[in-house]
Amino acid sequence: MWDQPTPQPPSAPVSQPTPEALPPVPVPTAPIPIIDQIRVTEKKKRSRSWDEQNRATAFRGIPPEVQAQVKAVAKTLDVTVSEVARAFLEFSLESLRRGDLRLSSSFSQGKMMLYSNAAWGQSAAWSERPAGTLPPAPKKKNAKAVQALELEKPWRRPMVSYRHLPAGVLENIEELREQHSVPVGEVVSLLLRYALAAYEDGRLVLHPQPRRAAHLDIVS
Amino acid sequence: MKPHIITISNQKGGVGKTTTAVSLAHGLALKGKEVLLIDLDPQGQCATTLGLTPEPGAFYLLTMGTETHETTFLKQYVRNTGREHLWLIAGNQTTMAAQTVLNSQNKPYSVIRESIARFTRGNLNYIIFDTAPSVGGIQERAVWAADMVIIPTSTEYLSTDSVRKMTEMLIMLQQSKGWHGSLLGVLPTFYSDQLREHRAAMEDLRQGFGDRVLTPIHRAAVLGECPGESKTIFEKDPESRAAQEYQDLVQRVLKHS
Ligand SMILES: Nc1ncnc2c1ncn2[C@@H]1O[C@H](COP(=O)(O)OP(=O)(O)OP(=O)(O)O)[C@@H](O)[C@H]1O
Ligand SMILES: [Mg+2]
Repeated sequence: MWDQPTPQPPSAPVSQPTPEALPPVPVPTAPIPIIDQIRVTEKKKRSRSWDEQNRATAFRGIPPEVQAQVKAVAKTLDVTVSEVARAFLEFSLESLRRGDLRLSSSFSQGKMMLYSNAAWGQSAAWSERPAGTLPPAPKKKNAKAVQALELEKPWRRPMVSYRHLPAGVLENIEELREQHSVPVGEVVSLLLRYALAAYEDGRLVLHPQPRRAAHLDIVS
Repeated sequence: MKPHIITISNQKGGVGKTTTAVSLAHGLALKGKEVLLIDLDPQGQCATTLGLTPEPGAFYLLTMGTETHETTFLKQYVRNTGREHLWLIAGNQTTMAAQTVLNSQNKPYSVIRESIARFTRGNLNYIIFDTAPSVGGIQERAVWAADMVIIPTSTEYLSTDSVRKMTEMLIMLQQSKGWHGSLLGVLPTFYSDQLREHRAAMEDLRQGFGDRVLTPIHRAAVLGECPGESKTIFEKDPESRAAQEYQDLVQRVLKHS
């Protein structure tokens, strides 16, 4: 019933059929399938800028406790984890630019490690143990301890992804990674830790924007 | 960003227009989109389905000008549905009077689009129109207002005839009335794969509309129970097949807007 093209002998006239011959179809251009006569909604083309603004960036090797702390801050402020990560990364990168935060890398335990001038940075808690250099596991260990040890292996740490990271932040992270020849996860971990410490001692204050419009702003 | 305007239309009655409009609107709202549902059917079923009272919101939308005081007045009829991100301009019998007004004043096809332009500068993401099972001024103007049109159709015997009529209308609006919107798709409803007649109707639709035949909504008792309980399918039974099928429609819309 949808005006399928009807097979026509090659000699058939293309001109208008006589009124009697008109099939009871409403659309004059009979042989064209109906769908070809209507404009159909196209899939949206994502603009590059949209993609850039919204792309999730996945990082490997962020210690679970750092991830958890970022998550906890997000929960307290009722904002997304990505928003906190973004603010933290921006704060730390700004601190780097101002010279408040200085990084140095050194070859340690068989791999490049990143250090900061901040006191907490000296603790090795956040740095990663190189593969194969785990201390021999204690004889009696409970499941939790095993899991914790397993998580010490950076490649076993769950990936974390943050959305809406500005291109500038990602570029800065990439520059640092190159400059210090360390994995991206290590750069991000250090930046997040620095900001977390600043947040905890009150130097860094976050100003959450209301996540949802409380009312419908229909007319601007 | 301007909201996307979606009109759900089919002059045939009882094919699932309101069910589709409400489910799509709530589905998009659950995705965090700001959605305004507008009921252009005098039966006012969008309101009752959502647990609100029919009222002359649509009448004012259709008949009032766009002066600031008129918009301020109309804003009172944008109801909070009690569901996050989902708003409603309800309708009632007065919508029929609006039809008469529109016809007597010989309003242009663009009249509804112009009337909702006042909402397009805010933070809305979608405006969805539910329409009445009739042909006439309001339906055509609601389609003209749309960026995308969805035609629900049951898959019963002869029901696809009304789809043909709808398509003719779309072609007419596009070719001679300067309509810029497009057809998102034809949505088969009340579908039962066991029934030969339904499969035949599906085949028929596919021949005419190809991949613009959307994932069918099966006949589901749970959908029939929703209006009586003033619940959307996502509230009544989010795990049901019907919820999943309407979820597919939501995804389709998101991909195309
Ligand atoms: N897929 C379905 N399976 C079973 N019942 C359904 C289905 N879709 C809708 N219904 C029920 O069928 C009835 C008609 O549906 P609905 O009101 O959505 O159609 P409509 O096209 O809006 O009708 P009208 O033309 O009168 O406005 C309603 O009671 C609705 O709950
Ligand atoms: Mg209806």
